[in-house]
Amino acid sequence: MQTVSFKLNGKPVAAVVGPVESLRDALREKLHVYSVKAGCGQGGCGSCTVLVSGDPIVSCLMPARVAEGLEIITLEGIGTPAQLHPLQQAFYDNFAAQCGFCTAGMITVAKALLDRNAHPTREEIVEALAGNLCRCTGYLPIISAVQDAATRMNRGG
Amino acid sequence: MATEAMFIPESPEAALDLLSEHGRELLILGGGTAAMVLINEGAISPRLVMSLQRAGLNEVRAVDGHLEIGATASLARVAQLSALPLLADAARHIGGWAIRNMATLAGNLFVPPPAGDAAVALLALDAEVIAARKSGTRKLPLTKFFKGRAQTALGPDELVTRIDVPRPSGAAVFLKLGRRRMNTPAVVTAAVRVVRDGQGICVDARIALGAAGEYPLRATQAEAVLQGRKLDTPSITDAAAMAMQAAHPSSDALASEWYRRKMVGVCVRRALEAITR
Amino acid sequence: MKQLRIVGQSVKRRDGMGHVTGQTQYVDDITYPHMLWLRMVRSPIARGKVRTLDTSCAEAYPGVAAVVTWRDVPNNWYTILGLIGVGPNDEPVLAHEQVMWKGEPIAAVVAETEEIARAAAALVRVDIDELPPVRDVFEALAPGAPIIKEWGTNTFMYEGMPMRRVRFGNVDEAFAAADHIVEGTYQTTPYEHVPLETQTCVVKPEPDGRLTIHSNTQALYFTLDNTAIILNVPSNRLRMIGGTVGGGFGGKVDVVAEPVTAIASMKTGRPVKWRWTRAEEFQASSTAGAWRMEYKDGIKKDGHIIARKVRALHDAGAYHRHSPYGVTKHAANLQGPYYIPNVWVDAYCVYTNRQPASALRGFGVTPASFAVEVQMDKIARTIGMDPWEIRFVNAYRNGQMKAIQKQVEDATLVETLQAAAKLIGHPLPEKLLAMHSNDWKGA
Repeated sequence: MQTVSFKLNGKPVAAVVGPVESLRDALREKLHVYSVKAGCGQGGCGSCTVLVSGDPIVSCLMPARVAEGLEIITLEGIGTPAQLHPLQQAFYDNFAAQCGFCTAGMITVAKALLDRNAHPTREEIVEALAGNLCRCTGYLPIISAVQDAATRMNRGG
Repeated sequence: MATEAMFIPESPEAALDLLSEHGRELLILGGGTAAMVLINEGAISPRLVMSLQRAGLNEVRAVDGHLEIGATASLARVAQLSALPLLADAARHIGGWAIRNMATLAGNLFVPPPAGDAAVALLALDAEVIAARKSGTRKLPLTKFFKGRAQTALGPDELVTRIDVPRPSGAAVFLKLGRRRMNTPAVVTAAVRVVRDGQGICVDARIALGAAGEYPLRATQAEAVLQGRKLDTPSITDAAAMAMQAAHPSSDALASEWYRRKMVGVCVRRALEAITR
Repeated sequence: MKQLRIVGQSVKRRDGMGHVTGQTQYVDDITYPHMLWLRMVRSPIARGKVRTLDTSCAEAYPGVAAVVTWRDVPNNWYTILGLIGVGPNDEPVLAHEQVMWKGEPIAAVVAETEEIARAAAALVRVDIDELPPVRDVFEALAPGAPIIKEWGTNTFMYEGMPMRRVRFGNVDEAFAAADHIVEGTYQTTPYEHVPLETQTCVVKPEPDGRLTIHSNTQALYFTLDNTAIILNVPSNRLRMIGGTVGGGFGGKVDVVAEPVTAIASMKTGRPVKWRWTRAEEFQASSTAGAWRMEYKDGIKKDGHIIARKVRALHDAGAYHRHSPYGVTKHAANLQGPYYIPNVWVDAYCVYTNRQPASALRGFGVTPASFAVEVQMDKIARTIGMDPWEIRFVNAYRNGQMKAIQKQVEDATLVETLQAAAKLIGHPLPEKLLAMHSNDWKGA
């Protein structure tokens, strides 16, 4: 077991982890960050997506040790109940979450998209979210929510 | 047996030292998108693991018109290489955004079919693999790299450090048939490149196929069938038929052997037709 | 009219804020000090007799707190339909003398970490004498098939008969009087729910001897009742906490996680978590079963379907779960929303040595709807009638009798078709626009 240190949502943290313990498990079990979900362990569902140096990665496939010194953002760092990110407000307003299990991953990837591209086309949104599965909504309200958030952010909302 | 150590070397030399010391006991991780799945499921339990994420092997350089792509360049990076549109297209068709941020170009050479879409494009581009060991490096054409299903020509102390791709000539098309439009494993993948002279006669052709055999392969007889001919319905039909013959795909949960073989013909035909447009 | 506060308004989801902020708590987010992890050992083959079960190596593995087998289960029957009088019990909680499907749970290893539980699970030795498996409904019903159920047939027995029957009118006479006969065979494959959240259960023993059970079941009361029976405790000894389900769709109505987790907790005296892997969700959790439906319809040249004969086969897999009920629902819906005065249905709930089937989204009815509607289009093509018209002609009217001996009330198919056509801009001829659900003149 070794200590890995990195920045989590802007704050320095450290965790004692096994050699191949995933970043997902380190975040959940050692650092109690539960928005990161354990959906498959295969990188296929996207519900464990976090941002590493601003890029979406599936944390179930990243060894926690490799996160040493990097900046990790999870949903908790994107917005809080007191200060919602426009994406969170848009997901709420557009009924883009039903069971909610995919939601953290969806919002995290959407944030990375809007950070790079403030005016994504519908196809660009679909392509960005292609690695995130949802079994409840049929995806349409999620796409609408991202479009809605982009509109609000471009208006300064 | 639990994994005992994870090494994260910070230079190619350090990586090669570790490889020379531990040989086949050392599992090499690029982005982890293949190996971590198996580790998470308990399907493999390597005693030692080495991540190449910090070994400085991800540079991309243009040198005299050819591209030298570091082994651990991410597929997301490769998807942006405007100098190699065929390869960029292939990389874009792999996984979702997160997977592409993590997966490495060299890693795509080691995944068993039906995966390996970037490797298929590299085959059509006459790529060469630079394999390093502590005592030096060697270059081998990608056509000599694959030996069997998930088996390569690498020795136990060798590491792929770079993939060199010459400046491509001709027109090229990448086609992937999957079960979904995006984020899907392949039923069949085809990377086709044709060089024609001023009269539209084919002087050189590459037809590379994925999920059509034990590893990414070139349908060399289909390529030969195009030599000296214009790209028209008869030549395209012949090439597609030859490609179908050369294919020896497997059945899996995604597609049966007979369907894959049929789709080889369809994809090669469509790719060649797209080149004519 | 009274002012309505909620009806007609758009009301946001009560749990919406929790979802978008990552605060909604799922069972996997629940953790207790000294919690153990459970990993299930499952049958590697489809059918066989268990000769020996040796858990000693697993028990001795460092970090393993206990191994749970059939010996630890007070009442080793999963009794979901037994609760409503449908029997006999056929599914053990943990396999004892035989295994009936590849993936059947045999022994649960409980350890300090998930990795240790998984490593120790590989050390459980089960010796099984393989028997030839029945692989699909056709093999199950073939003459000379191995009989895999203790009551002597490979089908569920409905009041002494091997199928659920619907008998209404006289189909043979009606077929003789029909102008057209249209046959069709329809088939669906097994289908997995793939909830993003896998089945997960956390059980914590309380100082007063009760158990607190966190479950993502869709059916908390099924779970409470079944678990109490299996544990042989009064239900007031179990404190069930459910609520948030990360995707159910029918895949979390079977009580397949809580009893074993509870027993593990009782045996070790510690909290236990069992989080199913994605592979288990695909290969071991219940699926929608395969259906094979054979239709023969008799139609008059004016488009009225006057006879329908159906043979339906449902692949229930190795055990009942909810299938006997699903097949009954299916049989009741095989005429669709259409009036057919002569109906004969034989619907079989067939057992095979496969992953057990259970509920999924409109259990039993959605395969029937698929077959019914494709058959309607086939009928329309055969007799040269417009596919809208064939449905208007046959749609239920109020006052008609259904094949299940219930009179139609509140029929709305005609009006719904008219509204749908208008919505999509499809023009309907006057004679169809003039129809309504009360236009049946009686027998």
